[in-house]
Amino acid sequence: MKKIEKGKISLTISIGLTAFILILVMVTQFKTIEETDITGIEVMREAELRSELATWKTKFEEATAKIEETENKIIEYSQEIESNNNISELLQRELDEAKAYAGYTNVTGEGIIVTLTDTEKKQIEDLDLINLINELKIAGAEAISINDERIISTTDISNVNYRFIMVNTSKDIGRVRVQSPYIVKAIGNPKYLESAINIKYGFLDSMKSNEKSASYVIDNNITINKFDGSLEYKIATNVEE
Amino acid sequence: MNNNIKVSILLGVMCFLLTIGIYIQIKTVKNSGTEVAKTNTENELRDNVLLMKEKYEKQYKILESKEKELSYLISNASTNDSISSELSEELEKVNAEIGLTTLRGEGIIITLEDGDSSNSLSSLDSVVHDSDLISVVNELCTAGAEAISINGERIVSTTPITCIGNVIKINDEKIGTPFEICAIGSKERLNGAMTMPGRYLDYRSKQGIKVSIKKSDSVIVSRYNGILKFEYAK
Repeated sequence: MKKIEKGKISLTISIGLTAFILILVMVTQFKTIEETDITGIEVMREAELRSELATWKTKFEEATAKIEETENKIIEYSQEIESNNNISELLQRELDEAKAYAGYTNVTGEGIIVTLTDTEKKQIEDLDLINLINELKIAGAEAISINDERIISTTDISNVNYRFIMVNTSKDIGRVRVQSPYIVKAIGNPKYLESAINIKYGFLDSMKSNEKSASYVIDNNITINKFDGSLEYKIATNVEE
Repeated sequence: MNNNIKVSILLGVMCFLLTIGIYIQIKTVKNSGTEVAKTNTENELRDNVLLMKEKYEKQYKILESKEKELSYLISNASTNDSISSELSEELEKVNAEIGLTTLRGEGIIITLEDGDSSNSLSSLDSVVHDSDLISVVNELCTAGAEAISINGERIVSTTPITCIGNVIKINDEKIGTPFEICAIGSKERLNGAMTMPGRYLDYRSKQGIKVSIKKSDSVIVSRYNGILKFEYAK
């Protein structure tokens, strides 16, 4: 009898001890899992850094190309000046290029057309358009318009009395009113533009969860109208550096 | 005898489990080893990003000086010719509009800063978000701002404002709090629009972010630090 009890006690103790050690191992394991999660974030950050590196590399290459372009222009101008020719032709070319960037010309190219429509349930709000345009810019859109009104650097989109959304504004035309359906055209890399709004929890998902109507098509021949007014700074003046 | 066998079987099983436990632990140690390696590659990447950025900035300085050389050449050559001088004057204007020059004029300077999170109900509300900057820029445009920059980054027609994790990026450049938004335009109109009760900044300052608005006769809006290009648009 006594012997058996002794065996039982030692058995309980050894089981208890091993159980304790097992718990320790389990804790370690839980910690491991937690750390693996951190590793996930670490990997994400690595991916982020890689994309950032790629961004600056592209920008560096663009700057290099632009330097070459500018140097060529300097040579062209110098040649014209040396041979006493008129430089107005060269100037006109350069002016046209600058005007294109400012939005004073019609542009065509591939891109995306997003349509937002008011429904009986939900109306499109100014913030929907502001967010959409920001997303398109993130994806590298080169030119954007809403119902053929060109987006320029000072375009504003605002809700007036919760009824109409006004897009820019020019000093001589004033405000332009746009109404549903809102047809947003953007020229740029169609793949980037599409994935920018189509991404999970992105623009289209958020529109859908708010029961708002939004659709898009990819188009390889979009024309975006020029900005019909003039910006012409009245207050801002160039700073000589 | 019977009991002894039971005990040894139990102990054997326990030993087996322990071995597994130890094996897992060893793996953990190995894992943390690779984490160190990861941090190393990350550090290396970070260095590379900084180096590349520096390289870009140096290249951009060269570009700026070349552009200056060109515009000097143009303005010199076009003085004796009326068509050319008209064209070069217009070119200068358009270049200002697309962000290629630093501008000065009357306007306002808005400073947004993260609020004290302990004072507000929700700490997320007292942090300045990308959406705040987007809304402020939009409202400034409504009030007739001619040119806007945020922490020295000029807002041009293709400028996006993004947020990745807890960093805000404008023109690919990371910027952080405090956010200084410079806007050129009628200072009275801009100030009136931004300080109006019930408008965006009033609402946000009640939620806990720190807002200060200053009128000035000489606001500087710096030039665009990027490269304008049309790759898809023609």
